[in-house]
Amino acid sequence: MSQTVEAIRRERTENTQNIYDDKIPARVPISVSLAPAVIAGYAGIDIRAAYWKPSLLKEPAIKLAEMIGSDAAIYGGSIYTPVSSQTLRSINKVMSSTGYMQHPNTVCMEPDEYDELIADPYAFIIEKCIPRLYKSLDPQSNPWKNILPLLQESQLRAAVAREDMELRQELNERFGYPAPPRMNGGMGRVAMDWLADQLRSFSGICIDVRRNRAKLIEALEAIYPMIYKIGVAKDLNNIDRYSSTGFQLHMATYLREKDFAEVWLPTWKRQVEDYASLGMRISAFLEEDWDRLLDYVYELPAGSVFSFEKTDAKLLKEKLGKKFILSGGFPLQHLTQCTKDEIIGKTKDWLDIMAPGGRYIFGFDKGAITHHDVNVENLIAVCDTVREYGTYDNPGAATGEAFDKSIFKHSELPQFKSKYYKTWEQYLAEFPYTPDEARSMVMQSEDAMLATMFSMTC
Amino acid sequence: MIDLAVLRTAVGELEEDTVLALIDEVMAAGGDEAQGAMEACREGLGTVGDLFEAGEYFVSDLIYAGEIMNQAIGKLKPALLKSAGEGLGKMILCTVEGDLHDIGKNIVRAMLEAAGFEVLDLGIDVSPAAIVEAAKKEEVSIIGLSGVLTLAVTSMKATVDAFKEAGMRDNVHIIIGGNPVNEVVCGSVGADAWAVNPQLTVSTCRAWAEESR
Ligand code: B12
Repeated sequence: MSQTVEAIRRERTENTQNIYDDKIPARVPISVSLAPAVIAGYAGIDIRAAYWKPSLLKEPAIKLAEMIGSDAAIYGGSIYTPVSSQTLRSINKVMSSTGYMQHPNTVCMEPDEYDELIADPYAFIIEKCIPRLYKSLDPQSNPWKNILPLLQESQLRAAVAREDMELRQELNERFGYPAPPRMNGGMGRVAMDWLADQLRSFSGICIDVRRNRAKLIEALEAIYPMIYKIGVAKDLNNIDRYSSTGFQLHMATYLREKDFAEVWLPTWKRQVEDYASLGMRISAFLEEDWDRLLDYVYELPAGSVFSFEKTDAKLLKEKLGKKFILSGGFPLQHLTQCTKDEIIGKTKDWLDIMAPGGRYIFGFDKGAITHHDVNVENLIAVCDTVREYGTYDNPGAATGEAFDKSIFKHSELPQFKSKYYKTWEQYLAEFPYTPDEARSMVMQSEDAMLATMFSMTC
Repeated sequence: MIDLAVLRTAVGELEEDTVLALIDEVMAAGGDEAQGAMEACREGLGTVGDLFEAGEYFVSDLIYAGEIMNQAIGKLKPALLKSAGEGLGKMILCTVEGDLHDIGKNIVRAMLEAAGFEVLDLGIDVSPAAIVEAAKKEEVSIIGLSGVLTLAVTSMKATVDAFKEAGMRDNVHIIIGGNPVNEVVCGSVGADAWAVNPQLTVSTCRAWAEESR
């Protein structure tokens, strides 16, 4: 690896770490990545093939990385791919004929099933949600045959992930992108958003919050130990504040304030404060427009990272810019609706609002879905402008409000229990000849199974 | 006799139990008041729309309002059908090809039904060919197209073009609605009207229905 690439990596890493260390960076870091579908479309490669063979995107990814001055790897990878969803015959993630992965409205929990969910959330996922969402895994309609797809899916997923990893490594080595932080944070999910997204559906939860309010609140309480476990840092003795447990805040802005404050917020706030008491950092995407809810956000732990979409940038910077790290927000639509000169002007105006005092990472309000959303010329101009215009003359100076974990107290947390989750004692009772050496391995596998089953309902 | 003002307010304030109790009362009394109750519900839903515009209600409130309306209409339907003479006739409503969102469409349907239309709801992700086919078969001249994805605009245009190709463009009125829709989009799509406000949707469609009588 060449000296210069190492130097570039060091500059990028230091720059971003300054932000997390409550210091002014040398310049505004740029976090722009492109989804595989965008890169494929740009190069005229069939995305349906690239989902299976990410290496097809190597050449265009290199070309784009050469032109676009982002500090994050330009190849963003994707969460939804047909590899998994078609093998499992998923109804919650389906590919359109043009290769666009989408999430149709799905329901895998009926309004009269709250008690069952409350009794054992993990069992409800395994027995009810998974068979309803994945036709290959429904033991009733698919007796005996439901074992093979699960094996095939993990086989295929691993094969694709290997290539995906290779591509990322190659790009990192060539272009000096910072090594990703140690994956210490878990998978963040807001209890009510999880319940809304696939279980009760967007419209279902909106009706429940009125009609079934008490049950809904009871359910949020009941799923908390599971949600907590999935999002918590894996190694509590070694918390890395350069990484975070990330959340997509989904339902909040669609609710009236009463429902937000009484139903949506309490479990999430508890989760965030519990994590803060352990020293963990959280990050969250504020979907839609949070203008009316910013006072609630202000109450969250200092140093949390908020990316945003339609929230008013000025208001956000003014109210939250000191206490928190902000990121994103720049309208993606500018890429296709502005001339080059216009977008350079808009980028400068944007930095005039967001950059002062540091604590801002540049990015867009949404991810591009297809290459039609991105005018590459303009994207290059935006990143170049951020690099040149978004500089500071006092790098390293202290800024913002420091995080102090001692002000947070961990809530009383009931132990996570399920008939499908074995504690070490239960495991030993069942398999008495298992040596103590196997303990951490076994428990990690219990946790990994829970995380996989849970993420299949996300 | 129920108090229609109470019904109207209950819909506006999303008091489901009150609304349904009043509707049950109407039906228990033989359903003679069904038309008036429907009108009160529609006015109440108008209040919901106004409060949404004013930033006092949010998407979840619209969804709940749609749910209340659908139940009310379901209960009133038998009585409304008896007095169908006053109906405004058939119209088509659907979400266009490539788009799977239907919350807005369902609210609009509830409003149109409340106003007296017999709405043929073709569902979501409906191709231009299927819409033209249905219009031909059912002899419908009012078409409502819904969509919230940006790509829905392309499908709306394809639908208008499909009516042209079928030689039916002059026989139908097309109204489009949904988040990405505005005056400019309406022009480029070649639709006859657009609306995001359900009240305006109803008044436009009603004017067309009355004109073709
Ligand atoms: C709920 C929702 C969903 C639900 C849909 C549930 C359902 N059954 O409809 C779920 C979770 C399934 C979903 C999925 C997706 N969604 Co969505 N979704 C939304 C959300 C939050 C609300 C939409 C809504 O229902 N609004 C409320 C209704 C009442 O408003 P409305 O539709 O505008 O309708 C009103 C008026 O427009 C008018 N009207 C409506 N129809 C008609 C018709 C006529 C004729 C007339 C006159 C008037 C009229 O009257 C209505 C009442 O006032 C929006 C964000 C937002 N704030 O809008 C995103 C949003 C629309 N979704 C988006 C996306 C990208 C998706 C997905 C593609 C995500 C994915 N990758 O899987 C998939 C869609 C797959 C597909 N092909 O459609 C984007 C669209 C971006 C874009 N520019 O295209 C949005 C804007 C979110 C965002 N900010 O990125 N989504």
